[in-house]
Amino acid sequence: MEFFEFLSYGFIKRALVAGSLISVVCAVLGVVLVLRRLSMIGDGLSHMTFGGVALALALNLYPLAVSIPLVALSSLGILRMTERAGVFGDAAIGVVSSVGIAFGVLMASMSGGFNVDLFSYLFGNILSISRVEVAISAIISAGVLAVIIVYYDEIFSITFDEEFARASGVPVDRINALLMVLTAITVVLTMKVVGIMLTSALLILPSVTAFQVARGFRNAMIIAGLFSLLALVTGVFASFLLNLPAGAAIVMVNAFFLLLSFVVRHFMNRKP
Amino acid sequence: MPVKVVKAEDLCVDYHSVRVLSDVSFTVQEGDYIGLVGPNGSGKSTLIRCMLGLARPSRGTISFFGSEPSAMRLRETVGYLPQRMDFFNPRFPSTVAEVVSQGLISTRRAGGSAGRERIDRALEMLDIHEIGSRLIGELSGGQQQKVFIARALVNEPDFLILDEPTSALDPETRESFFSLLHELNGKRRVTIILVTHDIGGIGQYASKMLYLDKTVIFFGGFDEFCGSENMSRFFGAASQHIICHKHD
Repeated sequence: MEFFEFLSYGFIKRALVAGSLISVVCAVLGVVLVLRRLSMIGDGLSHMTFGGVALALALNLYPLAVSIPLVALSSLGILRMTERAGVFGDAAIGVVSSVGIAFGVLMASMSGGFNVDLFSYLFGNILSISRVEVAISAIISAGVLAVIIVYYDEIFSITFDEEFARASGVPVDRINALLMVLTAITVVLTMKVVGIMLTSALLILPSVTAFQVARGFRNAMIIAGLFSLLALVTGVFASFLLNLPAGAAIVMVNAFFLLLSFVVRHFMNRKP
Repeated sequence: MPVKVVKAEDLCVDYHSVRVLSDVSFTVQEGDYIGLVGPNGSGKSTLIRCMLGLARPSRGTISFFGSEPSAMRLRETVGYLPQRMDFFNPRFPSTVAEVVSQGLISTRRAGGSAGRERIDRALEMLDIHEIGSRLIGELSGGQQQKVFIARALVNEPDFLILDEPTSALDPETRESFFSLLHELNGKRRVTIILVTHDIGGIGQYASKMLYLDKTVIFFGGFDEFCGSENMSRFFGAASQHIICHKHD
């Protein structure tokens, strides 16, 4: 099959448009999260997304409409636990993660058990993405990217040296809360691309890949975004051609890029 | 009449119900070059955190040009070098120029050509212009220290707060750094508070001494400090000769 024929299918076009935007946003946010040692926040919030989706399906509501506010509140809960209650970041993420899963299982059980819809959110199905979901993904992804661009200096400053940023008058608490909410929204959007189970892969893998070769923070964000985009397109193409699950294929391509970056870094370090 | 840069009145700070600063009062005037000394755990870094609005007094007041330290516009006039350099991840993918640009965040001039010019000037001032595109984690401890000093100077501050700035510098670099501070203080009237155990550096340039041990033990002119028993108490009797001699 030719590449252009592959692109002629409507569901492929929708998958590529929405997936590209979400994967780039994930990668850019992932750079900040990994450097702040919050890599597992994607896992924690995606588990809460499971709870939100289960609640929405039980109440016959639109999953995104329930999940986004629920997960955003959970992300602020993580922030509150770490900053005010002195709970370690990984422990706070663990709390939200386990509560999210438990809540989801309870909701699923009370509404008659796991059904096909819930499974599709667990493992994702980017090829079934609707026009409305493409529009929502485009608007939200553009919004998240715009916020990151506008607050780039502040985000870099907080990520590198939070105390210096605070001393310089950066509204650290407000920017941290903003970053958490942006992460929450992005995680909810990502469930359709790779599924709840693999969401954190899109946040972590491209950024760790970028760190192997990047020469600067801005550079790392750009490289992570490009790797993530390339992995998304390659993964969707491979999944269509070889009849593989798209989410898993995208993650495996990202993992291949990471492996490749280790090799590139090895040779870069050997240069005199 | 000299402008009051910092004024602390009966300042007390508690951490988890433990008093770390008690009834601290002093006034820093424009153009002062103050050596802030005291034993480990004497509250020097806490005092600096109060000046920067990072720690809240439990009692008493501290003002910055007559305003609260947290007032946004004041941050533009301050350069700050924190004590510890191990706060950042050595594998953080940030170039030297990016790190220095962080010093411009309060002036919101980190980007653009004006920002780049200031960064270049700060790097040249510290003689590290050639490493501007290197990653911060690739540098030695001394080079990293210079980068953080450049970050403190990049916004051309009127008031510099430096917490043990010479701890990782070699003797030659340390000398040129003290000369640079002397020049900034003399020519540009930059007010400086320098926390240090570097007796040679203090002795040569500081005009006043603030000796802190949870409260103010001594605050006054360097010459007065030189002859006092506080001097021997902190530095030891043998060093009195070295410091006072250099200052002469």
